[in-house]
Amino acid sequence: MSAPQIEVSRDRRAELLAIAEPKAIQNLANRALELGSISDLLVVTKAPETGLIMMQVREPVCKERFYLAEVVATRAEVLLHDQAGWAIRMGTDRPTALGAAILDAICEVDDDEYAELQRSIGELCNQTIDDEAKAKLAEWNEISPTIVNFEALE
Amino acid sequence: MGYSAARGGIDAIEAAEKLVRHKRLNADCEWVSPEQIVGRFRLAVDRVMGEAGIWDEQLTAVAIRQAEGDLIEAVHLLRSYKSTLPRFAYSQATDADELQIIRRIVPAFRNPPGPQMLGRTSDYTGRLLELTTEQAGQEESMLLASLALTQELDTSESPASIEETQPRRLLETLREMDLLVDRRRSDDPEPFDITRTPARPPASRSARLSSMARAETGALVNQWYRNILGPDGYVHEVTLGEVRHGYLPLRINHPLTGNAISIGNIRATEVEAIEDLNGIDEQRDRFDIGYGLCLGHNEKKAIAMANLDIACHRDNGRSQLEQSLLLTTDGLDSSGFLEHLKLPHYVTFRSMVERKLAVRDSKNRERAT
Repeated sequence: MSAPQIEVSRDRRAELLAIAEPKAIQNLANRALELGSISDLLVVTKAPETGLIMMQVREPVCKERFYLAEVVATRAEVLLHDQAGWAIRMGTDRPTALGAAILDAICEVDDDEYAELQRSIGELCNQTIDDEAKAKLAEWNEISPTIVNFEALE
Repeated sequence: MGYSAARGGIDAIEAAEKLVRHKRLNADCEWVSPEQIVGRFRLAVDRVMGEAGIWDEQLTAVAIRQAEGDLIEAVHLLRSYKSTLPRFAYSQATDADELQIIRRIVPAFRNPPGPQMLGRTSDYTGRLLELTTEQAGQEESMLLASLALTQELDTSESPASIEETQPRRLLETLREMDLLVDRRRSDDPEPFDITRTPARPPASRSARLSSMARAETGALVNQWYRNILGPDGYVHEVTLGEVRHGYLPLRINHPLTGNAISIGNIRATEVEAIEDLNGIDEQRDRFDIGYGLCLGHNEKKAIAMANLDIACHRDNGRSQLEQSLLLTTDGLDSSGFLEHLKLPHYVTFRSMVERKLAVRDSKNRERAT
């Protein structure tokens, strides 16, 4: 049996694992670590590290780029069955960044042992998409009543 | 001017530091968590993030708490921390048009493209100090928590359209009306990185924008006010085109696929200031636009920045405006210099006293002869 297809691309998965609930990521990563074989095959190639990303913005007047500020982020990289897993998240949460890198690697491995986990990671990605959409809608419902049409006095 | 280090006093210095720590950690009240600071003092957090040039609400809350509410000291702590971190990457350039608004005001135009949305503001209502009891405040808080804000409203099940969340800019309307000087560049110069090299006049516009985005809010507002009404005598029409607060995506390249991915959003405030051109060498039948963008929700800063951006462009190095912006508006620079005056200056002052006495002796000798 081949590994179940995860509906999101690797890039999209990285985006979703960057914003997914920390506890959900850590729970899945802990489940992965409980698998018998993984402890021998998992290598943390880059331990979680906190650093900065300089944010560039292109402004609308002259269409020039400038540096707005630096964003704190934490990244990690692992190797599982010779498949690299990588993750980065804004903030300083090292366990979650490492967990996300492990989940990324698991999704890249073609091995039945990981099929169930891969399904769960796919579900987490889909859940994160839903959560994001719901949060946006909830925020819009809060702010849209403040849409205003001022009248000009002639 | 001079400063001579002093020796000794280690025991007293350590005791003073211990006193600060003891009083801070053992204040006779409830412990304040970073979450409380982010939740209850969001504007202070946003302001400090902007002035420190770093986006991380939790770390900023920790810094504000450690600084006992001294926001410039919090900036100091964050900049120091930042200097210990590696830089992973420069992000992909995010187009400011991607800003997803949660507030948008167009003071210049009644019917701009897209909605005007007041968002979370009390700009249009009178503000009075709420002298309710703590108990009444907490009861109101619990009541509000039990009533979701949206319960009272007609909620939508469909997401907002892109025209609503990323409306076209007023400047595009002005461009279509051929009322705007076109300063769009066809080249794409590398931005100036003020964290690596101090910006000095004459500086590129990207250096000025970065410097102002990181400037101390009060210093920038003061610089703007001086420029508008003060001794610089630059009184002119001030009209704001756009005031926006919203989310901007942060994108970097995935190291394994090479593709750009978004890893989250930051919040920013953006302002466009419309300038009425009236100089002899200017296109007097058109307007020009100044631009401001800073981290978080900080409209005072973004408005000042936008006005100073266009003021600097029009000034073109004729006055000391650019020098003043680049060299005097960084809060850490100015307060660092100011604070150092409290350190012992015994040798400096002794030499000054000796000079005064020498002058007096000289005068006395002249009188005697």
